[in-house]
Amino acid sequence: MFRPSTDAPLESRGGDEGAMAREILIARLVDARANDHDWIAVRVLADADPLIWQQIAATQRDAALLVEAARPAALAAERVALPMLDGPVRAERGERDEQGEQLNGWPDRLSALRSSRLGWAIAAMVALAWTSTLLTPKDPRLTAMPGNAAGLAASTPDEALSNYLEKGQKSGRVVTELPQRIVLESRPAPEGQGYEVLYVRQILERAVVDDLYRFGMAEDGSQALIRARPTPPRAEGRIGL
Amino acid sequence: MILPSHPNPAPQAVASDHPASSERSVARPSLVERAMSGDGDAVSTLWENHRRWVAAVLLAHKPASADLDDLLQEVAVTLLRKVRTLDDPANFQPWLRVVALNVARLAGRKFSAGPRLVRFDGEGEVEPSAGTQAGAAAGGASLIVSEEAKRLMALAMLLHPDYREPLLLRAVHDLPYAAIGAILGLPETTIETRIARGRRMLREAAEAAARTRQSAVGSGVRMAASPGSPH
Repeated sequence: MFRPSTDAPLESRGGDEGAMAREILIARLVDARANDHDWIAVRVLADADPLIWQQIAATQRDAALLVEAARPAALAAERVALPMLDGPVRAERGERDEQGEQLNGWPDRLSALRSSRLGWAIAAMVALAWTSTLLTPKDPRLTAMPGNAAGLAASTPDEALSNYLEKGQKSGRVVTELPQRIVLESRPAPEGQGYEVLYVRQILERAVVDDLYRFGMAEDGSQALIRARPTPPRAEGRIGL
Repeated sequence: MILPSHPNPAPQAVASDHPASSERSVARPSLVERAMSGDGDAVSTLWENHRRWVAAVLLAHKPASADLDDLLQEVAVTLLRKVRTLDDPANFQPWLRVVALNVARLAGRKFSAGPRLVRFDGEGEVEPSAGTQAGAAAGGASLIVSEEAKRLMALAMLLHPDYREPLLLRAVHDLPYAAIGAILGLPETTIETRIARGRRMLREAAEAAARTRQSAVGSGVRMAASPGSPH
């Protein structure tokens, strides 16, 4: 690590230490951290080797180019909000923060669903519960299948999906759409440009049901619905499946 | 000529609510403490104050084909979930950096398992992976970045992470050296040295790449010349 000598003048230092001192001087100038002593040191160096001005200019240009190249990353950071406050209902409008309430205690489950095996287990359980005629959801608002909750006025699938997400969040059915999409298959596009992908879009929903069931095996070996117990979160916050 | 060193305070493990300047990095633990006690507004404000440098850390450590938006979302969710488990508000920034590092490394393991496509736009169309490492490193956002900037970013991504990360923390968030030191847990003089060394290596690599391009262009011109003309 460079440590400035209090004895030897800068220009008399040879080897790597002198080169490092030169680079640190350049960095201070480029980052507007140079004091009067630094400027004097640069002029002394430049008298012996004018090349330093070229190096300062090149380093300054590189710093500006890096800022330019990093701008998409800076914009990405501005785009990403915390999930809790990303919904359409906000407390400052005097309305219930429904998405926040839905996420209260759920963020652990949000993370758990990122494990695809766990997610599929949960999805299978809920899907089986929905398809079974033995279950009657308490809240009639939660009985609508995806698509029916969407506005009929939507002219494209994306509009319909957007309507479904918005109305779902307002009603309490939809918690959030998970950002990661699971790619199942990909291949070159038939048109010759780009790729065709088959992927799963994950939407987190909540439901209140009278009972939970899972598919198990009856004594005779046939499949049967068996009453299941809710799975409590593990100590670290993951669902204990 | 004596080159004076700049003031080198020992890195303070402070709970900085805003990382931008050395003055603002002085401890304001109340925001972190409020977040730790479950104040949603405090968590949100913390995220808004720190997400840009988190993006820089992710950019420095993520695989080229990973989507930066997705990784930022992962870090945001982890912040929301686990800020209450922080044992000392003063360790918030180093803790958040470790969260970002873990998210980036996990993405590296996922992407090493097979090919991935970068992102999907709102219409459900698929965009192929960015052709250059710089384009992918920039997260693939629809923003015009010059080819020269992309080339330099690609070279920066080849630097050792110890040099790459402080450079990107400067580039993405224009953080002062003291603030970078607080995030990385290093003295300001070390940050100064790493940035200076990183820039020198980048400058030399850019010059070498430019010479290679000029040499290739020159060869092409000579090859295109007629047999009878002087070279």
